[in-house]
Amino acid sequence: MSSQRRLELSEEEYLDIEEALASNARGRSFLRMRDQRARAVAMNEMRKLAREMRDTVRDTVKANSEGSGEKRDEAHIRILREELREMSAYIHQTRREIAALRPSDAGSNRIMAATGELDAIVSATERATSEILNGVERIQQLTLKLPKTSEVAPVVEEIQAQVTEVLTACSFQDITGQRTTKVVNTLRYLEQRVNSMIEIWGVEGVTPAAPPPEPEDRRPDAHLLNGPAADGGPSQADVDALFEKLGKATEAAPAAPAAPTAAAPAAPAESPGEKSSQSQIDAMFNAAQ
Amino acid sequence: MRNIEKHVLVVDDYNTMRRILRNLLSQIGFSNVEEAEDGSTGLRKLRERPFGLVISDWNMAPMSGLEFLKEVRSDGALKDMPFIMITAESKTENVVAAKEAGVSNYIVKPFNADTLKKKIEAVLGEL
Repeated sequence: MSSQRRLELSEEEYLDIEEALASNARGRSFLRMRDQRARAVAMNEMRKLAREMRDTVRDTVKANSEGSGEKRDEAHIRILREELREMSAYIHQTRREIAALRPSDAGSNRIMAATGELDAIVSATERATSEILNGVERIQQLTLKLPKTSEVAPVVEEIQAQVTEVLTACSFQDITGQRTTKVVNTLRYLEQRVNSMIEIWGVEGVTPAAPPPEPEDRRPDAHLLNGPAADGGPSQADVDALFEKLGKATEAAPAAPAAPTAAAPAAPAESPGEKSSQSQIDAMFNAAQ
Repeated sequence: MRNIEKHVLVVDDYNTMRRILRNLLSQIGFSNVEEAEDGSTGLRKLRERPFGLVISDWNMAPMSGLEFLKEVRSDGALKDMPFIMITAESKTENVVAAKEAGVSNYIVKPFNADTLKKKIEAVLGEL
């Protein structure tokens, strides 16, 4: 027997470690992978159990049908079959509903996307707060260089008081960060539960139930409104480069068509997908006025 | 502004918060401020050198502010350390738990510079 005992964590210790891991994006990724692996094991056990139940029922039915053949047993078997058929229908419907919860690909998982957005909010507010603090500290340093005359001193004092107000107001980042982390943890819990249901019910190949109608964004540019890009999105430099490239492309294009008259609707002359030059856009604006 | 010689240890998992506290403490007159990002790091720092005041957040991992406080109070060399809890946890049971663990004072976030100074004075005496 091994002299080393396996360290057992208390429930509280386990939850503390899980909470610590869940407090940042990398830790959450680790937990997500761990859950996936654990679910794969649980799913295999579930399938094994289902196979054993199926074999037991089949053996029982077979034994009964090979037995005395009495009418009473046949009636029981008929009822059993009917019950099993109904159960099967319920299970089938449930599996279809659960299959509808499963994202078509990892990138479209809405819960993961939501936690990613919240992580991005925390990072963005942290960066912004840090920049505000840089500015505040710079102002503090500059006020120290001002002359301490009777005219300037009260102004400096007021600036310093206002700077302190800004400084303490920046503590919002800590509070919003904590609140956001709570929401992220709740979303993660929901994600775990949904994924567990999906794996336990083995919905591979099941046709998903029709999804409920989504709230529709009727704005004409809804397809363009995706919110701020996550980390790794195009930088200002990327956009500048693209803008410049587009500018060169339109300069090389044929001259703009004549501007539509004021009576005519100011519609672009190009087919969808083509770029308008600035002069074309200006012409459209002028015509619309 | 007078220069207060006491070393202060600020313990908070948010860098922003540590930076704000360092700045406010500097305005009060504390020029020796050290930082730690959680209770266990704070405890290690307290055992490395003498400090005159600890200002700690509560909600941190792996060692929370309350656990940190209990460790400090159970350490013979640190048990009398002035310890101010500064946290967004403001339920009665939180304050009671901190008080029972021996906290010297308790500040609820968000706070202002005046509150910070008053609580420090309540613990250390007039600055």
